[in-house]
Amino acid sequence: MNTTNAIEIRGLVKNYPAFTLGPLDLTVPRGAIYGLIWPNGAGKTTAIDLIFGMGRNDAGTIRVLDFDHRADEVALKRRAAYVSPDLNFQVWGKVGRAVRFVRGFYPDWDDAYCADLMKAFHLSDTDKIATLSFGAKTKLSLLLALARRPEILILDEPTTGLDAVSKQQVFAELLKAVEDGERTVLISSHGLSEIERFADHIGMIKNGKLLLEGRTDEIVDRYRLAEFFTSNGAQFQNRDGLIILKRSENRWHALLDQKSDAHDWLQSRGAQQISLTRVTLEDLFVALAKDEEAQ
Amino acid sequence: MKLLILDHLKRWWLLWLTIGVANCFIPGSLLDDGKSFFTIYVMLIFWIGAFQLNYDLQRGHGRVLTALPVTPKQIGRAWWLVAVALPALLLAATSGLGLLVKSISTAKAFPASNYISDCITNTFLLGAVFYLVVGSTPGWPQSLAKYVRVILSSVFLIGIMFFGKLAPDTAQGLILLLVIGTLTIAGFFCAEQFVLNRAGFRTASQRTKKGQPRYKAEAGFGGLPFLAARAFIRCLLIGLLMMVFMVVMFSAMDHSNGKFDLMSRIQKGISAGNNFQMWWILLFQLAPTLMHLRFLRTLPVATSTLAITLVLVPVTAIICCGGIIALLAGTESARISILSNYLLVAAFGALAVSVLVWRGMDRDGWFLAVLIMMLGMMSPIFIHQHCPLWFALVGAILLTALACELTRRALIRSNRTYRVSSNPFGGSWGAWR
Repeated sequence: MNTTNAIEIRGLVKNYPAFTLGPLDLTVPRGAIYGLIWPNGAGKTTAIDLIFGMGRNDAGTIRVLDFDHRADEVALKRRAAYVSPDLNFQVWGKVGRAVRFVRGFYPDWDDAYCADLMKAFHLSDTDKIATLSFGAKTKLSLLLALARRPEILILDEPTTGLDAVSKQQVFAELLKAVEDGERTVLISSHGLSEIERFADHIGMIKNGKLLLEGRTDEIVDRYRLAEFFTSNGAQFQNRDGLIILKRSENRWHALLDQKSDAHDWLQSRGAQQISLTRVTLEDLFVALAKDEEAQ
Repeated sequence: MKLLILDHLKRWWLLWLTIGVANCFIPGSLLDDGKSFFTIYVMLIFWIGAFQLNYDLQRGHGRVLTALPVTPKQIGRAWWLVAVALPALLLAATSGLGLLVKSISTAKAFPASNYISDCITNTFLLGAVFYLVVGSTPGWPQSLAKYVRVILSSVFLIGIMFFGKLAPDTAQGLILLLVIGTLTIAGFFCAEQFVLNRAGFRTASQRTKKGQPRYKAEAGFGGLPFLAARAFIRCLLIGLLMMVFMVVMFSAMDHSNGKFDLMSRIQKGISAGNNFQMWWILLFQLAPTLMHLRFLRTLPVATSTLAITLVLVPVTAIICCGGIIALLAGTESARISILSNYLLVAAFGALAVSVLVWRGMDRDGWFLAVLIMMLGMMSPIFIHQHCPLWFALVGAILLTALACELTRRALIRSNRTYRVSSNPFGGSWGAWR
């Protein structure tokens, strides 16, 4: 295990009757804010569940902070926190009781920080959990995770159901929590603009396999949306570093990998007026996902 | 409306068929004794009618239906028909058929008056249950008034089950019959309102006031001991509450039969009746705990520790209830009998826990758990006369140990329990998946 990595997933496979996750390899560097971009129903929650021992993987290994996810289950969970709108705290009745319950597991629980978070998230210890809004429940989940100051924070759709102001609050608190650069965040979200702003590393996954992984700025810089024209009736198809997105008569749109020779290749095949514009993560994900589907 | 009814029947036809077939045989078997079929019907309404409809409603079916181009009135009427009228017809037709075949084959007279009386009672009972179950707001009660309504409804339903005397030949029966008849008619006319209540239910909307956020750390221990202590106390209180309820009810039944003797009732152990404690404990305490299992699994607790906690909390609570009842029992043999019963019941309860963890709290999970709990409830009836305490103790230890191991394995291997959101209490406790 490379100790500079917070999460190392190698050859992870989980078989279901109608779906197979993996084989998945994923590396999250220590101290990174890692955005996981994953389509619906493709095994995102399954993979996160497996990290926390919810279900057994059919093959592969998962190591978090150098701990094996099964053999060192307790040690791993003492350092890792999980946030999701799926988590249910209603059995505790009131927010204060849920806090008391969770606090008991963590000797270095920070009560002052917990109080600050309560204030920031507009929660009170006397609030009834049953009557909290969906967004407030997510905030409670985040509060219970942050107040224990985990070394690694795994967030599964943390902004689902939150309004714009609440999203800003959540991200502000997350950034505050990781500002020392020691903590790692793995965030999976369908809000790609959020991931682009917040995450310094990203991994794109399709059909249970990693399509792309790396630093966000490097990835965004590497790809360009190319628009070009042809006058000689030349035809273009996907090739290394080039994914055709759409065509209307002589006008073509494609995703171009600047590290490849695709630009030169286009010119050599008669493409004219090639203009390159910056891609967003959303453009990139849609293009790569379509390409993967076509294959 | 027709489409709504057909949709319900399409999804539940197998259960309806099973109940129909069973109902052909059961009343016929009582013909020789000339008994009322009421008790059978009471058991059947827990599988058909409002409870079945409620199962759909707890999964957000009401909200889906109101988005369709049908009026709430049409939906309400459709609900009433599938939960009251059609089940009543099914039960009447199948029991009538069974009785007819039996009376012809045994050359006995068809018990027409008994049959008609039971059919009417049965219809009213289905109607009353519809009013009480579908008419209640889903989710855990948030106000005293709702708590009172839930308790009164539960007492009423269980009371009807145990008294089993609704025939209008006694004043008590006549009053009860009038009450459930009124509820049946009220249910028909209130069905539209029930639809609106169900479809518009959102826990979030209940938040009406919000002061300044504040936080005062609760004193005392937390962690797993906090969970275990809270769950144990709740289980014990539920068990004791049920015990008191049963004692009062059985005593009242004895009283109505002219042989009222509270101490005698306690001393008899009310063993079979009090096994209902297990249902209540599992339903009202264990189920909510299992519903936040996904969260529990993210906390630093070893799988085996969590499995042991999940199994032992209800088991110890059930055994403690048995211990308290045994203390009240007059004779040594009664004490041993009660303790043996409760040990066996607790052991089966432990197995039910592992099934619920394994399958998740979906329909199959509950079905299997209920089956095991019924076995647990039956076991003392069948063997307690011959079951020495040591045998019950060893059996309970072995079954509980097995349940712990099965639960541990289920926690590790099963994905279902972390994903299935269904629960018997409505959407507010669901996992929002």
